[in-house]
Amino acid sequence: MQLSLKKSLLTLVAVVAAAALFAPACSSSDDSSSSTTEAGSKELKVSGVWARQVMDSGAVYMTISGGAEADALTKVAVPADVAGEAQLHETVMGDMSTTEMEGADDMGGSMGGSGSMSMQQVQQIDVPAGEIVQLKPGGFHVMLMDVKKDLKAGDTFDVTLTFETAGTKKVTATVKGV
Amino acid sequence: MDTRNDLGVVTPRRRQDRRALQRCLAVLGTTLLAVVLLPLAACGKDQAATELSGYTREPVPDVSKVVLPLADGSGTLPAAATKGGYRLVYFGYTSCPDVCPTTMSDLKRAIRTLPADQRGKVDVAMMTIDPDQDLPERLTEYVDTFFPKNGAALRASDPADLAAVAGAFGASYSVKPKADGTPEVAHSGDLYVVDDRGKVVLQWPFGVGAESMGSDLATLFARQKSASSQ
Ligand SMILES: [Cu+2]
Repeated sequence: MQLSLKKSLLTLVAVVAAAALFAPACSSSDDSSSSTTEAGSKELKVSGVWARQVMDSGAVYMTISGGAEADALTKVAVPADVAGEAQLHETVMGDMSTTEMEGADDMGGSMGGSGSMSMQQVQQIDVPAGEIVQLKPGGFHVMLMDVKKDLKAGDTFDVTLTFETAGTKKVTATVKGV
Repeated sequence: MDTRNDLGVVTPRRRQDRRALQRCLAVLGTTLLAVVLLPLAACGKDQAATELSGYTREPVPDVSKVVLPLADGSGTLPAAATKGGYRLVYFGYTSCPDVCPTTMSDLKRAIRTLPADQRGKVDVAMMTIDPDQDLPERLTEYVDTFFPKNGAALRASDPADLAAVAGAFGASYSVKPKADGTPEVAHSGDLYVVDDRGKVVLQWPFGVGAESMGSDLATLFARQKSASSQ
């Protein structure tokens, strides 16, 4: 312990620079931020599945941790009484081609990142080996169309994910309020 | 299915403890640094000078002459906020399940963090960029979902009117039918903060988050206060 403490002190200077990023916790639990490489499990895992609904449309988000092999999420399904259809989507930031866009065509170039955002259906979401892929607002998401239920915060529903290699996984989405 | 990260099994306990210790030392180091540097950085600064997460265009856009058409046909709303307040204007559409609800939801949470007197001076106006799909009733229900008390649904049935309002703010959009008949919609995701003089004093790009929006609004109110007390 004495030695490791010394070592720690020696690395202190180097660590200080990076410390701001990790500063929130002194606890030894929840160390996921720095352990993904060494703790890389062999199995693909899905966590933090949540959903949001507004009227007849909705979105499901989650974190997918890649396994030992490269994989891809190719299909998603939800019970018929939740939504009529579930699709894999991606929100993309595109360059606004001013000739095609209505509105501000006199914006005079970059005004600090107000790019054009649009959604498109994707055939699959790649999950490289050992990497974490986030389905999150403004990026990949499962889009729910023709939502049939009036989902309340805290409600849960099944989401069936089909991966190329890992096969079918059933996970539970928890609804967040608007 | 177990979705937790089985870290305890993979990483030996002692290694974790040491890492925790290192991290504590790092935090301590940062704190010491901050103690030394902060007073320097804060020299001559007060709360009103706090940096904003949003951005302001130069020259500051003036929308004081712009009128916003209410979706229910009952009239118009000036783009300028009520006295001493802020009007938050957004251009979106109701079938947008990802970007629009995220922004509206973040904004709702941001407004909630303000003290009651300030909260009462903030309202939200969402204009549909897809008036063909977003009929008045649907749009009103959408806005009410987030802002039942302080939200206004805006809709112009004439595309030229929509283009004029969006253009004044610098918002852009496009709605084109796809092969399957559903519309392909693209839009700029910014949220515009308009003050009572009709100036777009701040703009938040998509993804700024509730916390930053809330602290920006608090800063704007604080600046008002310090300006009026001078
Ligand atoms: Cu989508």
